[in-house]
Amino acid sequence: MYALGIDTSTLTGGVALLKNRQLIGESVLNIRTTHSERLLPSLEQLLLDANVDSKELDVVAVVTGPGSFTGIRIGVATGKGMCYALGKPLVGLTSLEVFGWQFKYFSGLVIPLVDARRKNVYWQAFRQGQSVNLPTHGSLGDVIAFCNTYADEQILFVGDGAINYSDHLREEVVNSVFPPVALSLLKPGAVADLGHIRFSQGLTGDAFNINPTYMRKTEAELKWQERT
Amino acid sequence: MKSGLTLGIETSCDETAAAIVKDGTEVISNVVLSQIDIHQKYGGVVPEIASRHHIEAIFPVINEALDKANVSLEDIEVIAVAYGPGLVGSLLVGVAAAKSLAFATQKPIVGVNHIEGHIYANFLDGQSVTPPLVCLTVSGGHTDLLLIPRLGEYEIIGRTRDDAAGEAFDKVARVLGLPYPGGPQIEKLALEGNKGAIHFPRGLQEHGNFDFSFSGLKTAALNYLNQAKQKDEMVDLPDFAASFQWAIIDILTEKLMAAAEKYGVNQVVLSGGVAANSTFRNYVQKCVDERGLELLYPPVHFCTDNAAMIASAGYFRYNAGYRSDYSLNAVANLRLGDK
Ligand SMILES: [Zn+2]
Repeated sequence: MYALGIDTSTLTGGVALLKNRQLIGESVLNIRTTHSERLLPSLEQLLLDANVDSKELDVVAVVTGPGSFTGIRIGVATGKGMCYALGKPLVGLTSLEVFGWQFKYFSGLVIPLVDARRKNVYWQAFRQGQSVNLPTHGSLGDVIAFCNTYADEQILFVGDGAINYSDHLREEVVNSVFPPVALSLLKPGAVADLGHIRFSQGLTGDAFNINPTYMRKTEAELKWQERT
Repeated sequence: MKSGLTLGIETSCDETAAAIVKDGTEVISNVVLSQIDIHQKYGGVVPEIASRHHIEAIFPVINEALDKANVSLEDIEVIAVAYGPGLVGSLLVGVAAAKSLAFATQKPIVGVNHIEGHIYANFLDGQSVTPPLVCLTVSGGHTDLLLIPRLGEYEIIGRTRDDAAGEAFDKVARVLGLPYPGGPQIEKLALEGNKGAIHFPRGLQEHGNFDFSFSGLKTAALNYLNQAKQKDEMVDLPDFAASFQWAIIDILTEKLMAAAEKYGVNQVVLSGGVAANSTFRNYVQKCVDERGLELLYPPVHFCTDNAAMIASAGYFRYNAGYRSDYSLNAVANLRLGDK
């Protein structure tokens, strides 16, 4: 049973192939080349190296966001296209829930922070893979206020927001913990693994009903709302 | 699979479109989902909103195009997608969708220049297009004179060095207080005017030069209006509009006819928004008739953005040996002739 994982929600991203939840291969790049140029070539190389035909895939899992709007759409469009053409199920996963899954063996709270720029983040708290609150778009100050109500346990910050705002977070959250930078990012392997699990639970979608998770209206819509 | 069937995909602005075209000419299905109502309240296309609608609509639209054509993805011989020019976020949705379909089905994919697509709108609906031909694309963004020596190939023989012809129309119309787009407004005004009333300069008139320049003409027209205003003189608007429009039509047509003669073609093709100007069309028709040539312009319903024209252009490029690879990217300011 083959599961493919795709993540293009931040500058870093890539693809992973699992067979029965064993990692066959994973390709992650953190380079300036756009996802549009590198995603399919990476995927082609991965399947070639693994000697697996795309027709053999049982499920494709794709990160639907939150993250870079353009990046997300490239990954989601690619996942949709693969599944539409192959007649295979598609699983949409938020970057936040995959982080929760990837770091579920941490005993305290895990808080993935996806950088939304200018000290704003998309975030959600998890304990052993279970979400503690709803996914949220807000300021770093909101996250810090939330953390101060959990002063008696360790809080692991992961994701590009955790990397970019680590100095500020270390100061404000005394019980904060940070993994090494290279281990703080989303793994396509974790996307594929959680995709496999959703598939086995029958929780799948298709090219029509899996869509991006922006968690934020566009500037134009927000301005329009203000005016009316 | 030698079915001659092309799946065309177009998402360069605010239309999500997919079409199935056979042999580059026969439109089997043509689905266009317009977002125009969504963007209206913002006074123009909002790129991020357009992209968000494209990603939700693209597979339903592709599915509908296949359904209506009563073919499956397996029957398709080649996939064609517009990769520029346009809104980069919008283009990326179509490009990513097309590439993943091509990869999963192991079909060839061809990236198409959206403007080239507009030229191939002439191939739809049973028009018989027989290269070599020259094509003049005139719109708000383009004034390109192309030689199509054979199907799937093109060579730029002339382009504007400054403003596009449609841009000159729009700018002068704005100064006259006419609504956008200015071309149709000026055409209407010009109907009652005398095209010989005012002589406006034509740029780059030397023989054998196929490039265009409209900034001198535009400046002269604006100066004319300014001077009249300063001297408190009335401008005969119909005469002004007719003379200004004539200067553009005259230079466009002259170069088009000179190119047709130089390259020994039998057909002359017009495309782009300005091709809808009937004064222009009629004059070109008259010149073409005098020379025993044939004039083609796209059927009205294929003048606006659609995927059938992308499929047609892609099919002929594919037959001419062109292929794109999986690193195909969207290019917002793609020009004709760019790789
Ligand atoms: Zn167009």
